[in-house]
Amino acid sequence: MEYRVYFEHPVIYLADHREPHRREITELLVNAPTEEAAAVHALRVTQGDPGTLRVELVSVWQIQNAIRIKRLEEELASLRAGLPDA
Amino acid sequence: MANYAIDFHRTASTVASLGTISADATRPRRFEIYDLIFGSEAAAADNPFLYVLQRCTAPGTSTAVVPQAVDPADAATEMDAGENHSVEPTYTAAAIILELPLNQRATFRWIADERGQLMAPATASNGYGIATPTASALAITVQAHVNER
Repeated sequence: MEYRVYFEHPVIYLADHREPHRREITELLVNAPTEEAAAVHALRVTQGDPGTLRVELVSVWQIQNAIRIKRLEEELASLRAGLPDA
Repeated sequence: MANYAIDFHRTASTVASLGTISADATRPRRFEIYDLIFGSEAAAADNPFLYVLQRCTAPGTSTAVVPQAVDPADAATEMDAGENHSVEPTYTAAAIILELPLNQRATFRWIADERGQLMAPATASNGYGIATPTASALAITVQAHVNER
């Protein structure tokens, strides 16, 4: 299950070592079997404040459909751009 | 069939996995790993690392990594990836598919033989985990290229 964990205040994502000082985040996608596990994981890797945390289940279908719809809209726009003016 | 790039990062740990690639829990599809790059971006030093790629049946708890389509025209993938595990994947005992002993200074690239891709079944949450049973607490990275069928 994929969860989106939100923080009210930006926290540092410790997993990324390339530019840790710039990796301030307000949300984190977490793969976890339960909402509680997702929250625990997010706190562990960010050392964020538990009081500012909110967890939501992400529908993968929603994200993928949004990408597909955006792509279709772009294709439609490009087709329209090629049509002569009415 | 489409190709995806997945990058994994963490401070290496002997008890916590670097990352997993697994079939989706509800819409599983087969996938095959065809290219892997192992290395450390920490300041040069001599430290031994053992990278182990092992089959798993559940991906544990990790920070999600979104596989990136190599061809932007391809759709988002079904398979799931995660890094920086806090709860270990459920590894299949002895199912070690690739084992790489490396010095920290040495980056290593593994490329599948034409018929030697590392396959994963279209079974919910099944896939591969990357662990480092021998490691120093330094930044490590693995880049995986995966084909989803």
